[in-house]
Amino acid sequence: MRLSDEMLLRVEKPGRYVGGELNAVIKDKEGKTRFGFCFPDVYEVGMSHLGLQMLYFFINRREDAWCERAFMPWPDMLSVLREADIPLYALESGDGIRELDILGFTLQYEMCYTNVLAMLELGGLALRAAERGEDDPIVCAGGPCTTNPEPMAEFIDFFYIGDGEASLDAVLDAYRDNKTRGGKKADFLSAISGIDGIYVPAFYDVKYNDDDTIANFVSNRHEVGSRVKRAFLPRLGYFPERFLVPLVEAVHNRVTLELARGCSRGCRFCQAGYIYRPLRERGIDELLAQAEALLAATGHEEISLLALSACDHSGFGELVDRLLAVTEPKKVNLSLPSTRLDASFLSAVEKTQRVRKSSLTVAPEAGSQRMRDVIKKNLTEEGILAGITQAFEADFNKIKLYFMAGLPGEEEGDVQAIGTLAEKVVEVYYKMPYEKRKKPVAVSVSTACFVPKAFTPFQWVGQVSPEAFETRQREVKAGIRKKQITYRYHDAKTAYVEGVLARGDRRVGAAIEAAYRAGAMFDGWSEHFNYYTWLAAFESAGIDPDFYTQRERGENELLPWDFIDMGVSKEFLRREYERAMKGETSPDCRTSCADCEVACHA
Amino acid sequence: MHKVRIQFSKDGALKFIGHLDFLRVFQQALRRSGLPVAYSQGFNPHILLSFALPLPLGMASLHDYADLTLAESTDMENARVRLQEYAPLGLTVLTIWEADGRSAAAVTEAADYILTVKEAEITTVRQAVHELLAAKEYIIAKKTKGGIKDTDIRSDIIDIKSNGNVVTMRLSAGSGRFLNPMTVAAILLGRDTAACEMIRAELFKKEGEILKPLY
Repeated sequence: MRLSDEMLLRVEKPGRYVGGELNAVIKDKEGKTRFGFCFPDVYEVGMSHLGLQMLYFFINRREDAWCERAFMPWPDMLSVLREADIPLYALESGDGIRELDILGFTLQYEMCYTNVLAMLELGGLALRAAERGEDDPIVCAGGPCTTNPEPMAEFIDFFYIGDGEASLDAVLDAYRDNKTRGGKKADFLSAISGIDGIYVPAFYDVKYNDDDTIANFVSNRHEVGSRVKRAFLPRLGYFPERFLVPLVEAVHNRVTLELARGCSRGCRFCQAGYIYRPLRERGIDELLAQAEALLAATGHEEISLLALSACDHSGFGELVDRLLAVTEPKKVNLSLPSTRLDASFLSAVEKTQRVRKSSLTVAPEAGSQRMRDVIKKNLTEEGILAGITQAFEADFNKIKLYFMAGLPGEEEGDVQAIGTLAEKVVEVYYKMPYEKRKKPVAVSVSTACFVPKAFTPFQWVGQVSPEAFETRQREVKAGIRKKQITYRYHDAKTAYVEGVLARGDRRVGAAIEAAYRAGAMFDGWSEHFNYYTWLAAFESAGIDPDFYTQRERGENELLPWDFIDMGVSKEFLRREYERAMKGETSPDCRTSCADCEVACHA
Repeated sequence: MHKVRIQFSKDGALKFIGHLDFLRVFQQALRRSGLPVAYSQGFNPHILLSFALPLPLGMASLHDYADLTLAESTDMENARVRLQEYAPLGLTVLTIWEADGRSAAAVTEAADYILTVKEAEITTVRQAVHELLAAKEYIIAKKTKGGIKDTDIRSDIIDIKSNGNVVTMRLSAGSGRFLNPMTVAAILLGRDTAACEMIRAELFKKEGEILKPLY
């Protein structure tokens, strides 16, 4: 480590920058492929991310590779590094990230893109892939945002699309073999371009029509196919036996178990529900063994259960019972995910005496039944209120309700229904006999701004303008009269920029660079986000943000991400979109097959 | 319930985490060790662990103390070895012994700090030590809740010895009287203490009028 005590003590939370965590892996760097897992957000966020823990130990299980970590320094540390001319370094070795072989960024949300550029520059690398040389590390990126990698295409040597464990070994083998042969970067990229999930943007050319839509997207190398198939793991296998345990308090300090990947519900707004298909569950015995091993290896006092819809796990009740038998004697808290108040969840809550009964989160997502049908959130008002009644009877008194505003086909009445539903929740509370109402009821309503994403049935729809979002927020507010209800909403302007980045094409990269050059960083943090920096960046890059956000795409338009084979077919997504516009729902995968063309029975 | 006291030292990356973070890290080590720790009652049970005196961010300590309650008695040396085995890098468990009575925090009255000064500063510092010890009072403007107040800190300086570039300061430290070692370092160095190298060497309790280390 190259920072003096004095430098470290000039920043808030120096513990973010010193490494030395429990279970950190230190290796002799000789003869290893050195991989830098780069998380483009602050340490406490990155260290709470299960993907980091999984891939860190997955790569480090190989004797020929060493995975280290780097995080985005908070602005105070950024100034210290820049002033002292110290490059961004990997926490394990203290070596500058430019000394590593492969840097892997995880793109968890679009608003971290400028942080990726900041980290590259802090590491002493040129931002654009084409401007980096043989001495620079290979820069790759993975994570959910790679389902539309195009806005970041100019900066990244290769994208890894799909399940991390599926192809990563093949990529690391290829890197080692190429190095042994004395091959160049281009040889390596060429070698991996045939592996499932690998997309090398430099191997493809894009041509545009006069109306700015994409005319064609073709590979410029005969050996590279025109489509990139996602990396896919038919059965979940690997899970780390240890977790890194941060010294400074992370967002989540706990053991996380991955119950399942994928989801059978297919809510139409939810990208994760489509790109991680099909539903793949881990077995109860396996999860239990992981829980015991990880508690012993970390000393954490909480376990959380991760899945898109954890209560849907086919053995959820049994899993909770058996986990409680492990956690209760150890005084470990079992944190239950609570976005669905169905019977299995409520019965699990009843069993966990150690859950502090205060706040429960429910996500109806839309206020009116019509909109819930459009988005295929299969919840009825009766179901929601019945669940909440049970929760009140079980001594909960605070309910958080999550909604989205700006959904496709939304009308004024649908927005007003959000407030109406919240008021009904309060009324349900007062219907209980007086003796049962021990604590005052509090309902908090929050609305997110709906941003359409790639590989969802809503990938064609126009996003609502910032002004229209703000109108809807005022409408919701006006509809809430009871003093027991508080209302929060997400920033409409952030959603506008996110919309451009989420469905942008390659040309959007110039705007990301311009925004970064103008000082944009930590755009996901409201105190750092500057809308006007972004508007100026779009303008200077010659980009019309409305083209990417508000425009309804034609059925036959070539979308920037169409070259990726994510499993679900475009025809299926279109059918779902058309059903949505007619207000029709479709069945859960477990009930009947909707023919999405993911090979889930293979 | 068996109350024990742990003597430990803290260095490395652990220097850079705050008191509450260190408390959590220590509790995690106890959980991993499988020692029969006792928990508090209530909805959110926690390990009954408390420290004698928080360390300032950035400062290592040679002899530090914590009180821990065990649910059953256990061999002290085995417990020490076991805790050390599961301790994070930078934490050395020196001794554990059964300690009933007042808590380490309650008995701590003074602390020794070792300040390492630069070669060029040795003469200035030696002179400053001499003047400070000769003075009957030493008034500084101290920030308090009610604003800035003149305070005499001389009585909280128990002793200062300077030997070459090593200055050992014994100052009031505890829940009653506490003098910030950085305040004294600033007086001795005649500058801000940004790049100042200091460790806490020992904590003391009073037996009669005599100061004795906690262990």
